[in-house]
Amino acid sequence: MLAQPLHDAPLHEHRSLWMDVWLAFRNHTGALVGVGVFAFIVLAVLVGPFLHGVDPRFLDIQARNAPVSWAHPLGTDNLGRDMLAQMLAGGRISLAVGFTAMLLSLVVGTAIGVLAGYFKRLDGLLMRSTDLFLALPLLPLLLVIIMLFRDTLRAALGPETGIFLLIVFVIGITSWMQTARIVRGEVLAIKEREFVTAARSIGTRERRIVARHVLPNVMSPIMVSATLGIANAIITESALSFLGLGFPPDFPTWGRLLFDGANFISITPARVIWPGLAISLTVLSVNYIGDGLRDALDPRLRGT
Amino acid sequence: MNHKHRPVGDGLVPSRAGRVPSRCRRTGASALGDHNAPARERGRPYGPIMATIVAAVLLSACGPDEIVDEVFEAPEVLENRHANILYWQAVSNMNPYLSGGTKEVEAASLVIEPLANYDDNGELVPVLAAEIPTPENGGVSEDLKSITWKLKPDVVWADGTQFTSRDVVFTGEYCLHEEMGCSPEASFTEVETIEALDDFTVRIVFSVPKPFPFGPFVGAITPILQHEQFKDCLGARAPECTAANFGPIGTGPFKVDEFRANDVISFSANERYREPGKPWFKTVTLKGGGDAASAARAVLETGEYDYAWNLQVEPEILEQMMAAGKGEVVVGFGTNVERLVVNQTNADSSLDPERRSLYLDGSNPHPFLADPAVRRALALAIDRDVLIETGYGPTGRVTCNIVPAPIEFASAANESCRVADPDEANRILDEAGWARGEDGVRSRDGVRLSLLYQTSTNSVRQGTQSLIKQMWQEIGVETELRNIDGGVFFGGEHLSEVLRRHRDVHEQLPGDRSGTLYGCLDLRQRSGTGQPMAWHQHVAGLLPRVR
Repeated sequence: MLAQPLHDAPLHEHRSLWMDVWLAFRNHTGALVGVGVFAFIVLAVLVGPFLHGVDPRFLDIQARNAPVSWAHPLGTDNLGRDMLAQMLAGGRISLAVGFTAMLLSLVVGTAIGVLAGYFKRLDGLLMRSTDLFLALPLLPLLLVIIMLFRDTLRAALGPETGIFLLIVFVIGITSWMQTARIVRGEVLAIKEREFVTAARSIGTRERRIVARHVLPNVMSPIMVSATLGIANAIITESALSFLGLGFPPDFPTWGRLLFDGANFISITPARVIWPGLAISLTVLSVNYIGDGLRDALDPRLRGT
Repeated sequence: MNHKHRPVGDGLVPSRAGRVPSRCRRTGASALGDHNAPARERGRPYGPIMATIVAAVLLSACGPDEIVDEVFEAPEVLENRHANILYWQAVSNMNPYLSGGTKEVEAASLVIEPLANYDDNGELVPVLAAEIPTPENGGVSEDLKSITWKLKPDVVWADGTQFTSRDVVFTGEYCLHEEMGCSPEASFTEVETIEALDDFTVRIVFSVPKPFPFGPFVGAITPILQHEQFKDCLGARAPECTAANFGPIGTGPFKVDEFRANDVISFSANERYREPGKPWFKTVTLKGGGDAASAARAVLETGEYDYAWNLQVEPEILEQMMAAGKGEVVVGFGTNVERLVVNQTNADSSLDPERRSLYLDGSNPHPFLADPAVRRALALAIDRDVLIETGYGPTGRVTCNIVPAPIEFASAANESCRVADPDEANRILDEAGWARGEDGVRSRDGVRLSLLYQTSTNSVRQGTQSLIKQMWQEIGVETELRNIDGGVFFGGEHLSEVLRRHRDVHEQLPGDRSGTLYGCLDLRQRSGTGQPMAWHQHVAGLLPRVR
């Protein structure tokens, strides 16, 4: 989405754009901590199930509401499912849903925003369709989409993959509008700036102007929407599951664990604390990473 | 069957009124109106697979004569005489003929009344009728083909007009109208004519002898509507009469002040109610929405509400809420049986919609659930004690009968489901030729034992789903779980649509099917792209009348 590494950079200086970005990013402590925490979460979720080999869906009736022990490092829920195993399995899904949906909405939103802002002919059409999507009542739309396509996708790809794709698509397709609006506004301002005029005057092609001059300058609002989008996607997924439109009810995700645990908050607080903490830490670390990236990507801030 | 589809009902009565002996708790309900017939389950234990868990009826009314003292001694209760009731499934309308959901039926029962109702023991009690017709008093003809109801002469509607046989006859016409899709239609099967002999006598003639002629106008699901108010609402126009459907004029203890669909209903006492001194409450607010746990909390912990309904909440949570000491849980083991309803019709969505629902002639059986061996094995594999222990605690009991109460009708003969026996289940499946594949799932002639099991959204039900899935896994049956919002799963609109569409099938059916649509643990099949459609007829067929 960003400018390609520079083929036409001045030869005497071996500093690429990404090198610049990294140097600026390195100075942002919060972002570095965020990267650390986030990497830890991702690593735990990817590697964890191999180390803690308990089936997250296995119900051990003898060990209901069990406290912390070696066998169950985070205890169990009221049906005897191991919390740690559920957290790890749920994290895979939640992170995958959050990121994929965020990427989808980001790509759609940025593309539409840039096109609408930069090409005047497309502006009316694209922004009116953005308004249209904004005006659509979200939940009924989700219901219709899921009712229409769930069985088809389930038949083709199995209940879990099918639902995963559907949820990612549904969340992505219903959350790009804000990004599109913000990006369009920024693009409208930037395309009138001198450096864009200068680039155009030397005959740079439109595609190149957008990629080289416009996009890096709208990176910061995009990053902000991205970080917010992840949190939003994780929460929306859990809301959908709660309505019975998401994953099957025995399929752990962080949002579902949180929902299911809410009633047990005073009996087994761990059921709420851990998924809540995981969601918060993920969102927070992604926010910091986004913050650092925004600073690093913004040419005006990077230079100083 | 007005309570049958309600899963586990536990009532809550606030204990702030001090000493509340069990009798009075119920009398408290009766002060609201003697409406709640304990479900008149006329079923028979249906076959090997069905009934799982047990449950309870709440709000069952005591006899009308019992006077309420102790419960209402608390000053704030005396002063306000206001009851706050919380149903966590919101009421969508006040007309049981349009929507047979428990919530609608029970809300409407505060306002409109049937000719007769059932008491705790399943005995008939006259409400708008002067007496219960019997062959002895000449009310039921000797050939059992007609029943003659004598109405109470002194009943007036809440608007002051006289209640007469014309209203009864009209209500019959209303439900039997061809374009109606009447929700309690089953109560009217084989009715030939409903005629008024005079202002206070109604005769119902059946086309066949009816050993149990108390279908029409008996029980809260078939109350009497006012002719004057509903006369323009016949047939297809029935759902359009919003004002009437939201605020029916009734003969009952309360009248509707304000109705906000799917939210709050305000009632006030009907000053023309025929029984002196009743209703005890001046006003009632019935709020809908939320979920079982928050409803329990609103009564037991925060005390915002006086009564909440249907506490399908995990036992450990309930116990902890009780510790707050603001209320108490009332469990009456009644006729609410949590059960699985198995589809024996092939509901494959590649078949056309009409065909998916036809099974009674045997033409379109389910690929594997029509096999008794499979159903027997599924039933044997379920350890019901575990389901009770994890999901219900003291509010549940194991029963093998679909009619566990009242005691007069309950059978103790069927105890076959009490002990789970996965080994026997495996043996039955092996014997029937269902062999385990590489993935542990059994199959025969290319048909895999793979089910879609759906139920309403409720944490106890989802827990039960997971447990049953694991139990079935042990016998080589694969289960996919799905949960559906309760408002949709038990929704009246959906129900009437299904009824309308499949009316021709239903009319051939013996017995009462109302309620069977609401299978609490509804088990539908999955076969390739299985699109579940009609899953009720066969079950209805299994519920012939007892009396």
